[in-house]
Amino acid sequence: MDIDLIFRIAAIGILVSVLNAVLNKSGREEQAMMTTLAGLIVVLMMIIKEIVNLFDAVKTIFQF
Amino acid sequence: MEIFQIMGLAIISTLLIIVLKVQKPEIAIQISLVTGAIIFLMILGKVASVVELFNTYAKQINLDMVYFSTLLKIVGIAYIAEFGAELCRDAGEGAIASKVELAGKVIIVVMAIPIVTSLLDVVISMMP
Amino acid sequence: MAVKIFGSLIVLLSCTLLGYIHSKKCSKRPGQLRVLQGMLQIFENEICFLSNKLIDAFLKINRGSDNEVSLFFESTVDNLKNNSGFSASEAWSKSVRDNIKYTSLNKEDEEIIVSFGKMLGNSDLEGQIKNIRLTLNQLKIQEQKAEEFRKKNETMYRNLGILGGLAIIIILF
Repeated sequence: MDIDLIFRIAAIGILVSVLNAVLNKSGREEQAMMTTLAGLIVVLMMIIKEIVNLFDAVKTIFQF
Repeated sequence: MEIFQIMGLAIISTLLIIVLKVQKPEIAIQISLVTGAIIFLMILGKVASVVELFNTYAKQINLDMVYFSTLLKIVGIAYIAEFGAELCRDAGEGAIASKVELAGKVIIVVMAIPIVTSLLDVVISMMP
Repeated sequence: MAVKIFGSLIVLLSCTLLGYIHSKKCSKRPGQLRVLQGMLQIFENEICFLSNKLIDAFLKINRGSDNEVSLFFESTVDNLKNNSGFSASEAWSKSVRDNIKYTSLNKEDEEIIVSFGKMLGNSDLEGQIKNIRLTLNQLKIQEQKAEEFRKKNETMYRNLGILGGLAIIIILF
């Protein structure tokens, strides 16, 4: 499940960059910007869970 | 053997980051963040057993638990601060990285104050 | 797992199709505008040199054409024949408004075509020909615009469809 997440984020990154290229080529800079932002936010939502996991783990292990 | 898993994970994420870094550096940074978190979660069990070992020995020699837990907390803070600082430095924000490191150091010093005071008390009491 | 893959395939297929249809729509519009211009040219000849009646001229234009825009002429003839209360311009604008959804033309084109009908059968030969020429010029400008739009967007819509489908799959997987 863990490596899955990495692959998914990388796929989103590649997809967003291709979308960006396509939109830029047809002269839609604003939409390209928006796709970049949307991709960033989607990935952030995905990794937030993992960051919370990490913090919880550190807290329990080192007895905070 | 967990080390092979971790190595494979690290190599795969490094390759993905290299692919993405030119086009979308922001997503490459996020991948490195997730990779760090996942690797830590993988070795979590081992760290827990080591901490458990130290705990039992500390109990055997009747060490004050305050000192031991402070020590552990300091290790945790150091790890988190290092993690954040390296991430910032990878993204090219050296200034923010050094600020995070400074904050980690300050918090560690503040947490170590009880230990330092007790040590100084011992030193002062031994002085003639 | 199999259900997931199957669902992903369906999503990908439908998104690709969506993009493809949209790009087809873009690429059809200049062709239809061109055909419409040709038909109006024929119509000009009909009334200028042959002095045919409107219904006969329209029927003649219609013959041998299976493009979507010939629906305008066909249903105008129907309207004129079936409802005797209609004037030529009423019949024309009704048929355009009814049939525009079967073509790839947009709102602007529709306005131009409807306003062509406003003058239909309202003046002498000279006025009619001037009206046709004006409409032809406007349609030519629209065609150039449509061609430009097509060049810019045809491949983009197709790529956007595929990539959007992939994005949905990756996010939901």
